[in-house]
Amino acid sequence: MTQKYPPRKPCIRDEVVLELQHVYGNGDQDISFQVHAGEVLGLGGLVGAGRTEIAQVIFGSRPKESGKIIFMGKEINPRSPRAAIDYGIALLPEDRKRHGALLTNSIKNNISMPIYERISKATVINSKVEHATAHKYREEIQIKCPSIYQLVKNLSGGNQQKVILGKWLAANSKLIIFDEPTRGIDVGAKFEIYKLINDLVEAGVAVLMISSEMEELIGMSDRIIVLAENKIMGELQKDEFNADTIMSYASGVIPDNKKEAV
Amino acid sequence: MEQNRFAAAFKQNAIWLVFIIEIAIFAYFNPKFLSLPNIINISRQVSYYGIASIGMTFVILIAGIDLSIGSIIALVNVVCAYLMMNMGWNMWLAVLISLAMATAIGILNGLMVASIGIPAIIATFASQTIFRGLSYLLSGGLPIPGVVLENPTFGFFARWSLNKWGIPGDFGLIPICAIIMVICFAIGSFILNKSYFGRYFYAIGGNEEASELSGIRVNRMKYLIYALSGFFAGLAGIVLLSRSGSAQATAAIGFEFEVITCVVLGGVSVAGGIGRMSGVIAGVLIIGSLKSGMIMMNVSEYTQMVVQGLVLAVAVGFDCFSKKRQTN
Repeated sequence: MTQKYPPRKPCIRDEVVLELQHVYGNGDQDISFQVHAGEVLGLGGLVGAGRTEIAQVIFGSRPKESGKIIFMGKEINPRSPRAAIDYGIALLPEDRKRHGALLTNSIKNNISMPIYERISKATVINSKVEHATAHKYREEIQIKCPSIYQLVKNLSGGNQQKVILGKWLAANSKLIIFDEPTRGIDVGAKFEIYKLINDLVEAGVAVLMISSEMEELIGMSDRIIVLAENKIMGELQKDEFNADTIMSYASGVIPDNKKEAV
Repeated sequence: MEQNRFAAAFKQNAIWLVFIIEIAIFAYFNPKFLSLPNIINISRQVSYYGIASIGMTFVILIAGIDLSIGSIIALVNVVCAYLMMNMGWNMWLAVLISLAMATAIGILNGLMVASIGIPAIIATFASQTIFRGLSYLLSGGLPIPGVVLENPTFGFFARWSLNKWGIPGDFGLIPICAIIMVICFAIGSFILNKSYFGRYFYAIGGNEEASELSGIRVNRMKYLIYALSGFFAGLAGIVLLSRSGSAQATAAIGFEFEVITCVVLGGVSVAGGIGRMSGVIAGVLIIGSLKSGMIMMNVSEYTQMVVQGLVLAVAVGFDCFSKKRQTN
């Protein structure tokens, strides 16, 4: 286990980056939780439990019906991904090829996509900043590519995921939502992605990680929330992590050892 | 890698080779083809295709289509002539209002495509019929003649040229409309390559959903693109009116077909996301000289239609074929 998941320095801060209060929307019901700066909050559950749905609401790609989203101490109501990005929220979607990377565009264009308006004057792109940004993140997260002009469709799955991450780092995100971060990625690249997640939280970013891989969820999270049928079933602290408990929550059953506490 | 880059550069510019071969063939069969008067004539002829092709390039880049530009041209012709001839408006004001109207029609197309979600081919097909009909209604089906006769300055857009001292007038060397076209191509090229709009257009053409999730306001961009298509079509309409001197509701029927052919021939993929302004310029020149060349070789109008249809089919076919080979 220790081999598979890189060690992380304790880095959870008191500062709450994201708080949801009784959020309804996109099929999900009564979702409440907090994510702290420097924390990885795992979202567990079966496929279709409503995890991606809540991510979409936070990222502004689906509307919220009621409840409050509080980000960095202020109530927000992002109505589009653009609005969410400008607040500092990022999403690495589950379906990388369809929703994440712009496959027919270059690495350079992908990385600068969310910040083009910031690095332009009177709509004219500052090409120096554009190139410097691409080079910076290519180095920093070690995207393996012959050049920044390479089309993203020609990269491996792991490197595509890194390009998407680079884009959100360039956008200076405070909260990064990973939806199945390592699906379809080979073992070596998985480890690198985990290391990058560690670097992020150590730098104070808040991470919300949706994962269907039990080992990954337990290995990477500081805390786990389990959803079933669009509702939160339970929350586990680090010392309570246990595959059986998570599985019973995910199937909509309150496990025996938790019942006693109630 | 080096070899790949060379191959890519060759592929990107192969269209210019086609243009040169075409010119050589026409010049071989008719030496007058490369005479100065004919070159000037071709540049006049292609100018309004060229101007309209810029908006169409953006539209096709995002995997859309705009079938309404021919009707926009007809309506701009009729409205502009009506304002000047029947209402006695100042020429420049009439031009400005006509261009604003063309842009507004483009925005309407954007509304139908982006906000309502009607497929572009149907939405713009509907506005093609609507605005052609409006042109007939406004003109009563009759031509409005004498536009340039009564407003000689209106000849500026297509009849005037710059003489060797750079002064515009009735007689000269470089047609104003060709200069307008070059300026428009420069603007189009600037938008595509230097402004962030170009990056957004390529992204949307590649993958709309991923673009939205990367922070691009896709709907806003669609409004902008259809508005630009309307604007450039309107400008082409002004040039056409200046050239013909008479506004007709039947003007520019089938014009969208020719412009789409120029754009696709220039290497803009109908699937979206791929294409360059320089390719489109070559596409416009190829179609322009093809038309002129065929007329000089006394090819009948019906045969010309067949040839142009074939050119479109071959251009799209080539694009689809190379894409198919890539995926295999």
